[in-house]
Amino acid sequence: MNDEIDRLSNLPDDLIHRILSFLGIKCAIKLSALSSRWRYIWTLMPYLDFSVKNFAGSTSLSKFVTNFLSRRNNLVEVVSIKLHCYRDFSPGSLRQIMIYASSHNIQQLDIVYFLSDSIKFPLPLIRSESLKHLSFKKEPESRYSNNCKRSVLALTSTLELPALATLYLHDTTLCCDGNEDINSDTNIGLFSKCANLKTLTLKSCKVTGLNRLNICHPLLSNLTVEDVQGSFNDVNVVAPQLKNLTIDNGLKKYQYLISAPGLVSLLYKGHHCLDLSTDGIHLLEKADLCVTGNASALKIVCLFQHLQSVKFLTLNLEIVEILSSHVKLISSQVSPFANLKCLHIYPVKKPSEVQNAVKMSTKVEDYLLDNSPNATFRMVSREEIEDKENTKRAPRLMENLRVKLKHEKKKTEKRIRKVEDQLQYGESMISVKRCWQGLNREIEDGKRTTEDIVGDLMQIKNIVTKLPPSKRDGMQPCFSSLCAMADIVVKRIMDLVKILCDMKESQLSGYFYELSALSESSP
Amino acid sequence: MSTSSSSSKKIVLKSADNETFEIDEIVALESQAIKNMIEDECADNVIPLGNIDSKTLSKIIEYCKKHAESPKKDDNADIDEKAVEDLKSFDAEFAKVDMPLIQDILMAANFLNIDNLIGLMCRTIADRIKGKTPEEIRKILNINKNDLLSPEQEAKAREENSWAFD
Repeated sequence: MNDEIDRLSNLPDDLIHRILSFLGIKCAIKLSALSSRWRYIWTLMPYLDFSVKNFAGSTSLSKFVTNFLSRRNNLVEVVSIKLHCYRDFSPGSLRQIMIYASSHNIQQLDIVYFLSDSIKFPLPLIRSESLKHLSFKKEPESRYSNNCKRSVLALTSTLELPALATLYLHDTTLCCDGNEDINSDTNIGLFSKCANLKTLTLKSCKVTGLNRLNICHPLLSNLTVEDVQGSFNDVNVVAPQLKNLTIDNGLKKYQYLISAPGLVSLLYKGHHCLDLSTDGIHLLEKADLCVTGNASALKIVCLFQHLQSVKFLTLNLEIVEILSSHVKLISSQVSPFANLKCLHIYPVKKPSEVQNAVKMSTKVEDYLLDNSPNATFRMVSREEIEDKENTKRAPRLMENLRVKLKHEKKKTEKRIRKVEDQLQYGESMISVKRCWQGLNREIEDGKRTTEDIVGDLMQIKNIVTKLPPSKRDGMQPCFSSLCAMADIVVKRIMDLVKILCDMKESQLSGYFYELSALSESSP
Repeated sequence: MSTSSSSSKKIVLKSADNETFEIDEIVALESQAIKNMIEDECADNVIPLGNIDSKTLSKIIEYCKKHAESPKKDDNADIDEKAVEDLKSFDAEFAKVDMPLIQDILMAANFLNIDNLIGLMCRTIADRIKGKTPEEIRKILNINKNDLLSPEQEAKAREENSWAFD
């Protein structure tokens, strides 16, 4: 081994940094004791990952990060920072990191934030010339913190990030009030000065002070707008390069004005029908529409007119049901789709959530498929979905019940042993009242357990009997053995009560025997 | 994605110990450096690799062959998970070699610019030194003895970095 050369220490720094990136920052610092080659290498690391969970346990992460940055070689650029803020992370440190990042030519910044206080995006960050990727996500746990609801991460001025390609904003407030630049009629939006933006995702964001949300980008290729709320009514998208568009409106109703001639894929989800006007999306290949509320059939038909070129169409069954109850309207329409290769219809609601299920009319089927005779058509019924879910659910419930029965059996046997021990030592009765109370408690417990077990069995039976015979038969042996097990457990509970009754009876008769002696009563 | 070997163009690589390896061009293209050479038309039929020995080179070719055959991620968003799993287990098997060879492969992959392989080797090295003491790591990596810190220097390093571990 001794004549082996130390290949690793001869590696260029960037490879050593890559090795260190798999080990984490703390380990990198530890390795400084290795040799003089490794002594200061951690101070030069360009990829900083503070998102690892093991930080949370030791010193508070914000203190660690502050210390780390002050000891880091200040002349070396930072390529990427990943940071996961937990409950104890100070908003001041978060701000400090963002400023440090922007003054060290940061390219990629991923932050999962937990805010105990409102903060604004620091100006140097939103004017960074190097930033290519910016992502802010809210720490999932922060939803349960009351304090966090009131604190906001606010973007108050136009982003000027010429290199930015990806922007992901989650639970961020975009304040456009009082900002002449953004609010004027000629405005082209908060992100207008990010000329290189290719992927934009806005999730659960709040927009204030705008009556129209403008998203206009020459290079934008992917756009996701999910649960974005605010003062505006319209969303205006002008994106000649847009390929993928995902919209999830939730319960809100917005009008979309979309100019995206290159759109390939459209995913829409909402309570209302998508209100779309466009100057043509002739390259559209894939559309997935899910409307969960009571949309008007006319609106749906209008929407379909915009999607004529689609090849792969997915609709939720509820849309088809709306159309099926307006057959008159449908029969006067020409089938809009001439290029369909595949039509897929699936239900969103459960059978129990639908009162008067409408059967899919053949007129609707003709309307959707007439112009695409070679399209494959697949429709999943609510019952099929439910069967599938129940087929998975029944074995799980049976397994849970089996565990529960085992536990009850063990518990009851233990009780029986204890009572039998008492019987052996001939414990005498303490008071008449407590004698009946003890018995009563045991009976109540037994009653509850029995009801619980029977309830579980009934639930499983209910689910299994609805399954198709092939699946149902397979579950019969398991269910029978569960019933037999339940029978044994309940019998043992009864035994316990019987033994207790016997014990109490003999205790009582002992009591009466003692009571009957008048002459030797105590003074 | 099958590569019909009869019709595809061949590339010959020559190792430091003068062994030659004939491979399909598509396999060679896994190396960004060779790809650039071919695109710039400065690659002759035989590409000499004066700093890579035949043992290392044959390992690298094995890796490139497998990865060239596998469907690429950006071809189709939902390629079957089986192919991904298959490649993963190949990588795991591939990395089961001794440390000197891993370091040779890493340096060669760096020279040939094969990003996936660089990543795999770096991760393998990281996995092998994870959780080990400095003494163990020095042995594993065969750190140059002349390069070690004196006990005083080492104590000073620990002292300086104590902020990170309290």
